[in-house]
Amino acid sequence: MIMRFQELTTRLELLQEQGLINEKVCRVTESVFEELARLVKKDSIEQAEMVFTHLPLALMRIVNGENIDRPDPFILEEMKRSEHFPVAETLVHFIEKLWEKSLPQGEKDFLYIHFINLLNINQGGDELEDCHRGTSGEEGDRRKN
Amino acid sequence: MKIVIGGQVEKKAIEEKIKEIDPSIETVIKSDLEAAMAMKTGQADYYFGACHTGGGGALAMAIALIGRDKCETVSMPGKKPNEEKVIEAVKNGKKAFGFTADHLDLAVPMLIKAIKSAN
Repeated sequence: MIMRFQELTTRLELLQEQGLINEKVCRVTESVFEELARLVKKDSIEQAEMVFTHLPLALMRIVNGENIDRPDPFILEEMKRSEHFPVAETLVHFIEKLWEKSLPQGEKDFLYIHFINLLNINQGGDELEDCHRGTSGEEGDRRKN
Repeated sequence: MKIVIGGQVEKKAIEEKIKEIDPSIETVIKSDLEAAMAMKTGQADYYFGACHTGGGGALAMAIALIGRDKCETVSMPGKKPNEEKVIEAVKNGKKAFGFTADHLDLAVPMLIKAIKSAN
């Protein structure tokens, strides 16, 4: 599924209408989409709905003072080995600049994972293995072993 | 009974788990937005969705389209689904359920059991 800027704004408007996100979150998310589109040199981004639903909700979690746990260490190790990790870091720095604050480490980690997978899909590379199931907790540990 | 599978990840695995429990349950996989729309227009009875954080991408569009009062996050990272809370949520009329992908094997059977008991 391909996402264009217009589809992103429709999605964000729906979330904003229901009070799930605020205006600043909308603007930051739109800017990140434009930056990512510039980086991958595409007007439309494949399978972007996951990142661009996750990102505004992550920013709202920060607004609401909610915390999430960091992903499992094995995923973090794999993430750092990705050829796309430097670009993912650049994108997270871009978000922090727009947000005018540092993001919590757990949120940054999940954003790195999302961006790496999105860059793999749009620019080639291997998806992070088992990342979808590798959130923290006993079940994630069981699957890992 | 028809379950629409939205959310962001592991959609096929959720469908397979539902079918493993009860092959007679009708399932359809859609994008999160299309799945939420299917709920809003009465094309499905329940919505299941997974993401990394349980309450984010799994349920966001369902909350936006059918309302927070119909949605329940049943698990989050490091917080497994609780059977009593799942039963209570179904009894209270919740129709859309979000969970983390690593809790799929626990959440789906709990939800199906609770939904069947309630109907």
